[in-house]
Amino acid sequence: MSQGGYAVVDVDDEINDQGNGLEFKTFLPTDSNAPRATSPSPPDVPYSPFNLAYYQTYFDVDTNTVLKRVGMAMIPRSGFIAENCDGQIDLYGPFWTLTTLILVLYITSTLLSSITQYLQSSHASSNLPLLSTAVSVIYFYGLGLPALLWGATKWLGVGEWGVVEALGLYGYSMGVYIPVSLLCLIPVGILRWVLVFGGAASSGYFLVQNIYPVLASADNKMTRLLIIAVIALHGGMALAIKVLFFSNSTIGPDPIPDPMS
Amino acid sequence: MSYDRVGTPSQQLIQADDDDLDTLSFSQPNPTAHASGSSSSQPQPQAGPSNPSGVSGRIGQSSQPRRETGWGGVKMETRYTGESTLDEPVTKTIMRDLNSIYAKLLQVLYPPKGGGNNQLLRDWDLWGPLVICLTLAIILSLDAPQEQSMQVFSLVISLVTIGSVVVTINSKLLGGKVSFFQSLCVLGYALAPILLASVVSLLVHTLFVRIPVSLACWAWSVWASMNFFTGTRLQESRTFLAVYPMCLFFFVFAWMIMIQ
Repeated sequence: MSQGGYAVVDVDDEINDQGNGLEFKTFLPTDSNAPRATSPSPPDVPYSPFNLAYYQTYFDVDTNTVLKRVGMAMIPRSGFIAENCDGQIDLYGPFWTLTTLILVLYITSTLLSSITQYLQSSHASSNLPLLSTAVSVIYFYGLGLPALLWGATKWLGVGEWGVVEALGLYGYSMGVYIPVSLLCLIPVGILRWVLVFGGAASSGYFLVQNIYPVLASADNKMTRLLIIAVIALHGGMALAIKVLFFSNSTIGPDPIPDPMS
Repeated sequence: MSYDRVGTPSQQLIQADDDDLDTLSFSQPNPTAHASGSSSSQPQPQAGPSNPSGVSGRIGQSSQPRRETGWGGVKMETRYTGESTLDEPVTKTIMRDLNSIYAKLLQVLYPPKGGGNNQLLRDWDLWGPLVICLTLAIILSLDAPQEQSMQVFSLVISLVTIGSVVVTINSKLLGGKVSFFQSLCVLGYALAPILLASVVSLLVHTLFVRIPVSLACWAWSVWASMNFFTGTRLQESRTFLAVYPMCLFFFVFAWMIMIQ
């Protein structure tokens, strides 16, 4: 009985070894083709998801570094991680960029709707649900989607990037919406569309420039089609921001009538 | 007739509370007890064991108020508060907790010159933060429209808990040396100015009063929590990174007060 059990375990181990060897071979050429600095240097602390010291390597930043990265992310260029982050991206910037964006969206949209209520002197309900909407939309798009994208690329066996880099790229790319949503306080309908889609174009171009090299490093050409999904979801996100948060109190022509009103 | 009957017991109740406050004031329990406690009978058993020069009195006395003992590798610390708490009145027990909450509130919001007493915050509690959080949630939900009050209540509670945990983890990740629950305690106590602003805005509905008051209380909250977090030995270049999330955290509530 027991000998048979041991034999099965041995066979399993051999299969695992072969699988690892094959995977490692496919990674080697991508390294020489794309000289991007990729996964951060392995931390000294052993990996454990419940150890705070493990994550401290991703929060090893200064104030000026974070401000510089947020600023540089608004200028869409390729090679963001290699040039601006010295090959190691942090998680402080992305997370607090997203949180700031949530707060700014909540503040601007509630301010707009309360100004509208004041002008129309109506006692409509206040907009507290907007906060939970903003939290779920922004965190899903900024944290959930890059994790899914990273999982998809891992599943397809493409690219050599960590989940931290995916999160960082998405988080920093959303930073451009913060000035955009502040400018959307101007109650002109057509200007808001221009602003939101200008911001979407800028951050979308930034995402494409930085994600496409990862996808293009695959042997299978079909994986590059993932970039279409990235672009489509980004457009949908911009539309959601415009419709959910900046759909009321416009003066002047609004080229597309609001579906919410 | 009925007016008198209502009036007298309430006066007696208030007087009794005041007595307890005097005898048990947190900072200096003994001198006030000697000064004002001549009429009441409570402080006398406390003064009793200190007067005789017997051996037992010295052992239990304040010469060694805290003892640390090891028990199977676990360090235990016992503190003798100076009196037996087994057979004291319930009001005394409650008032002692309330007084400790009040002392911590003062320490966080209006720290005495020269750093004050850091030992006070080392005995963190979460009762004060809980009370402040619940009161803030109730006041904001009273202020909200009728059909949204439940939403506001749950939103405020979850924002306070999740937000303070996230801010604490953030400052730990940045390398600050701070105990997790102590930081939660301080953040909870630092919400008290926001609570003040919400009370003011519940009473005064003018926009020109609400906005300055809530902005001033927001600044007070941020200042109070910054006072504590500067003691966490963060690097100079990272202080702003730890302070910024706190500003956001308090600003959500200030904004909710302003906008309603």
